[in-house]
Amino acid sequence: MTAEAEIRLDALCKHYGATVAVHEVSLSIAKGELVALLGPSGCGKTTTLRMIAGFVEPTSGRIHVQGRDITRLPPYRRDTGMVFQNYALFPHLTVAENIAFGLARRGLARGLIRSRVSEMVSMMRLEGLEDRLPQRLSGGQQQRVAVARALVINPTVLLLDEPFSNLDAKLRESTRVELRRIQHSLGLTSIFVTHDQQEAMAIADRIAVMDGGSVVQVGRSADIYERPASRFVAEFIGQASFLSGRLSSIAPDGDHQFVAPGGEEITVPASRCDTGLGTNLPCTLMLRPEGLTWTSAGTPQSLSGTVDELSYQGPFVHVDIRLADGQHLLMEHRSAAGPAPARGEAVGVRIDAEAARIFRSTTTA
Amino acid sequence: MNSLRTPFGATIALLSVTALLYLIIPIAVVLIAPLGETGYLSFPPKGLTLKWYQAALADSRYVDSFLNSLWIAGWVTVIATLTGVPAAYALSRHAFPGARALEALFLSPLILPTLVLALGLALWFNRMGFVAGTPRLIAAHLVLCVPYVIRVCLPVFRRFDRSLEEAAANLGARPLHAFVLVMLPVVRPGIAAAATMAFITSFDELVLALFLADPARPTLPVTIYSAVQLGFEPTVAAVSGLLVLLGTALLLILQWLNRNASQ
Repeated sequence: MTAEAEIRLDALCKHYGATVAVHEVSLSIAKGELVALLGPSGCGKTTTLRMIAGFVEPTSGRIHVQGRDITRLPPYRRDTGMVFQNYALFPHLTVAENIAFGLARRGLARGLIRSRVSEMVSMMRLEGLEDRLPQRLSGGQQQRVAVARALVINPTVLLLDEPFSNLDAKLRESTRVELRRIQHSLGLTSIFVTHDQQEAMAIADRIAVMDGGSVVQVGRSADIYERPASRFVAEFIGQASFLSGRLSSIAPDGDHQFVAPGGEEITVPASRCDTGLGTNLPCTLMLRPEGLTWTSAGTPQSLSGTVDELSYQGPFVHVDIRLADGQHLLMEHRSAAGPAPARGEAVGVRIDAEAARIFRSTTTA
Repeated sequence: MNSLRTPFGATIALLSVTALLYLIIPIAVVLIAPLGETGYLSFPPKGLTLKWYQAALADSRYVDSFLNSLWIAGWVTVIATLTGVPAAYALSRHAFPGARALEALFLSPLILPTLVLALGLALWFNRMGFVAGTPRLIAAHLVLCVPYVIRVCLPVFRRFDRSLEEAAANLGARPLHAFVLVMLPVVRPGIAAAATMAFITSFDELVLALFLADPARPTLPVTIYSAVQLGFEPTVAAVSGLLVLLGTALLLILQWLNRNASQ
């Protein structure tokens, strides 16, 4: 993929004095791909995006777009279309003038500009708002103008900085579906920054999870959810429980035998374990809530405890189970499967090894 | 309005009305007093005539010095805006070493008593061989007005959302285009306010003009000041009244322009 990568980031770094904002970020993005830079605030995702747009000069590393090195190019020569978090619409220009801004800078003829703008207005469903000033638009309309303004210049890459964060929950969902549809139909290479893991999983082709300035894992949503590379990723994406314990043995076929403090044994295949684990060393067992099923206490590959708290979610109930050693386990009980056990009830849960993972224990675990 | 019924609300209302009257009465007096027929100022005026207003408009001393003040204030406004705006822009953008000290230095003429400034400038200009005249007074007024422009523009520029400039650059605008097409229109009300401040400060200024203006070509404040020293004749009050009317008219025009611009 590297050969025909539309965008290639090579060991991109940004230091502010002694502070490292972005550290050796390398990423290849194929034409037409939608990649999410996902991470908590301060992880360097926005700085990375701003380096691609040219607003931040990298300390070291290269940025290639369509094989051309643009690392030192000023932003106005880059051909990237950016949708800002606050939309950054020009307050003194009308909707149509905002959309026309980039076309006018490219020296297009008036007639051509007019037809491209009206094309974009109808594509983004902004008809009738052409002569309004931005402050007289709703948040959703402003967001669509911001997208229209970025799309109309036919950018080689569309950059989106938390584009949905200022919309209310309902609108956010429909807007991201719509954006995904437009991005698909135009075959537009896009990078978007978000701290919302659900948003990233819902629309990105691939997700680059960032932490502390570095990319810690890149992959499709399912890869990252099912095979998180670290406890950080597992914790950040989706819900999971983490149990401390130790390994009692590693079988020749690779099966790892995890022993919970309560003595129960759980077998996890090697493909779902960190490398370099050793017997009798402390480690962490990660369990996704949907990988647990009810069973009677004491059966193999299961844990037992008591129901501590229940929280109704509609299609399922979140059951918080307290194990004998005091550790907690989150389980997803499907509402359709009948009533969930009551608070205080003693229960056993069977563990599906496919939804489990063993990590080396870090100091924080 | 309910609050008027409480003792606290009533007190606030009374204080507000008193303050308003305190501000408005002197202006009203200046406008009304010259309407009297008597050859000396009295309030309330006795009789009703426009002859003092006519006399003021016919008096070449007032008309000439008015035009002179207008000319000086015009130049001061243009130069102060053209230098103060870029200075404020640079101060708002770049954290260069000494920026804070420079900012304080630019604002020092606002703190310094004008009399001290006038004395210092008079001595220094004489020593430099910068003779009395319009350019000398313009230079002196700039010392006062450039800081005003910087003072008014700086917070406006600091509040300016820089992502707008980034958006312009992202859409292909070179820095100069981004400045002219995006930043300038957005901060324009601030610059207009700064220019107005500069104009009023220069037009209204007496102390520097007393010390530094060409005695043969006094500004309007100097002419009014000399006339008042000779006695309160109704023509002086009429000139002041005309200035109030002119100021009010300008204010209304400015507001009307602003309303049109924001629509």
